[in-house]
Amino acid sequence: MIATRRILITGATGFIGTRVCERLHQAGVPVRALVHSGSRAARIVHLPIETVTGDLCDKTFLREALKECDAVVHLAKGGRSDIVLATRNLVAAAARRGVSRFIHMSTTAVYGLDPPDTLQSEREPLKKVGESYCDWKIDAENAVWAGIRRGLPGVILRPCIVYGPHSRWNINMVEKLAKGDYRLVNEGRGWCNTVYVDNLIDAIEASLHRPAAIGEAFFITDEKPITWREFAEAHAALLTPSPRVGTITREEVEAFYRAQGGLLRRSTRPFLSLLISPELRDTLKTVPLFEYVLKSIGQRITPSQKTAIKGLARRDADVPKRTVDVPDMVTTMIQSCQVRFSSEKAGRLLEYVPRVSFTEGMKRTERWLAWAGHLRDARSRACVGSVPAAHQEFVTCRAGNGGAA
Amino acid sequence: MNDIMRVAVIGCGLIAEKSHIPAILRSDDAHITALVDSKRSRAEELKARFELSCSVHESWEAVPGSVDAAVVAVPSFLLARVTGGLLQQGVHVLCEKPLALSSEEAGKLCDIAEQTGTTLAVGFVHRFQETTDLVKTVMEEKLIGEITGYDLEFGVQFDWPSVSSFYFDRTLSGGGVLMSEAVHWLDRLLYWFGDVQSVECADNNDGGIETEAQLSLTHLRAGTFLRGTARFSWLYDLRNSLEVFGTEGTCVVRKDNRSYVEIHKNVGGRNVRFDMKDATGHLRTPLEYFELQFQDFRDAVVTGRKPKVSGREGSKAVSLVGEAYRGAARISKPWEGVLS
Repeated sequence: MIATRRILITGATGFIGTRVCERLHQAGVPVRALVHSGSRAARIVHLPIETVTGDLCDKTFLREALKECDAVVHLAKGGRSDIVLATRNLVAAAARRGVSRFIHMSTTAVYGLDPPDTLQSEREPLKKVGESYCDWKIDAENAVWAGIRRGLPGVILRPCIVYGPHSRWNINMVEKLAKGDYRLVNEGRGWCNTVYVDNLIDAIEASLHRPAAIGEAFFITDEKPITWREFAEAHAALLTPSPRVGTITREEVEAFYRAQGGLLRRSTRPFLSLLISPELRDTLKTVPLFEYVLKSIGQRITPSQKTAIKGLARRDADVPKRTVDVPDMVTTMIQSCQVRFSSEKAGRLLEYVPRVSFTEGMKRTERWLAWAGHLRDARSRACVGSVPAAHQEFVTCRAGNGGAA
Repeated sequence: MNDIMRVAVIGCGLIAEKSHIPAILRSDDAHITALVDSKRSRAEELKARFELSCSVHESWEAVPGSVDAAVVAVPSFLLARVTGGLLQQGVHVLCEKPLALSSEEAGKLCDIAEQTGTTLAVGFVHRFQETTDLVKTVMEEKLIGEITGYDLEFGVQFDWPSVSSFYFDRTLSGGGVLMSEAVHWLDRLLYWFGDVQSVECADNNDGGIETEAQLSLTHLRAGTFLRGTARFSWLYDLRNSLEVFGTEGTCVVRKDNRSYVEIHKNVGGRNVRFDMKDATGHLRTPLEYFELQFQDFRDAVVTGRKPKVSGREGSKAVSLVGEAYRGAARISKPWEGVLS
């Protein structure tokens, strides 16, 4: 049981935050949900919980938001200013408030998207790798470590692939598979390091009340590690007909992007193609100013220059075509992971036991995907157990002749 | 009343700013003579923006006597109080949906309008979409045979701006997706398929407001029970269409197609689709529907006929929502598993 007065949840309308709010509310814990935008609050307004809307970078707002709060679960994410500045502000405000616990949701990405396979435990030092997201998360985590050194009762959780209802990992995988020609990197042999969202929330709850959690960082994973192939195939099985899962080597992906060149080069051809397209020209001509500019350009440009521009826009000899779904480099690195993160430490200090297996987690996720309209086929419709029986069929009958039902 | 109807706009939120005021301004037969908002600065802001020569007030009580009619667009919990007060003082009212938060409140408003001889219209603006009458025609002309039922799915992830945050506050809005959004569809379902004999509801309300709801409705239509199902969501992007099933085909109304309906049927062994629309009509903008609504209201006031959506008619949707809330079960979420 979590003994606390009130918990401030940042990022409360996100995938993990929504579920944290639901779980804490079900456990009878008073929750104050901090949301960045009122319109996003639709995800949690079915709960009778307090919501406050504001900006984590606003120190005055944070002081107010923390009033009467005894603990913080910091899940907010975003660009660098959100992740780093917000964490610094929140750590400072929470320390001043004297909270009994500060849970910071970090990530295994603090060791890079494709961490070295020599990585042994949570105690390995953090080292920036030049990937923006990873480096920002390191800065944010360091802000919490600095707070811990000054006496903040902080706990750092580092999950990897958090999946379950509302997770983009699941939605994206299903959508990409459904499009066809999905390719796994290196035959999907990399470790996926999943954690089902409810397992992660078990770890959050344990961190909120176990004294041994304070000042520690924990990897949080499911019980049994799975590969990216297993993850993809579990999703492919939800689709009818089951799509083919292809593969591509990391070397092929890297060669593809090397050949594509830099951002400027990759953008030139499509930009010129767009510029000379009749559709765009017609649209622009509806604006008198653009019509004038286009006319002026047309009058000044020579026929040979026109031909040269068209040729440049259409030239594709030296740029490889994206004829298959080539994963982006971030995905490629994530799927190349050779590290099996262990939550052994969490088991020891938090008594963390992942209750939901991957099989069970995917069963629940499938039900949600179907409910949310991400699986639009007869099979997925049939699994929506929550539709009242009366909704399942349409019946007409004569009034007074046995009723409608 | 003079030829030019003097109108007060009560409540200066987004719907007034984006829809009601521009719609009234397009009418040659009406003139905005008063703006009312509890935040005077907001009313002043709109007065300046639309370059109106009108009075500005903080309370609706200041306007009777100086206006013929009012468009009431205050938060839902205030609709009945303000509308009732205006009707009692002889002011004709076009009241934003849902009119009231209970059938009792709505019924009282209708009684007052009848007693005072004033016009009460309800702002179910979707009624003015071409699809509303097209579906009626499809059914009456039996273009898809005998109607056997319908299925409606309407859901978009909530991301709407609002001057106030009343959508998520039950005390202000009277409910969630059912009261604020679905009520438009429910009004049309009642118009198309007749009065509802019974409704079963399941929603996700855990003590806040519902952001998802499923309904199973039984209508009594020409002596026949007709069953339909409807799902509404503020969480997910759903199919966003109404499918009306007939013995010879299906009629589909899509959320984004306000001017035509699709008819799917088997012709000569082939599944074909017809798009049915008014050949003389043009593609209207959302604002033009508010314009039509206001013109209908004005004509009803002038001629004494019933408006397209009268108080009595509009209150049926309010009653239906109330009925749904009363018997609502909780949507089961099989993906949540059992928590120990």
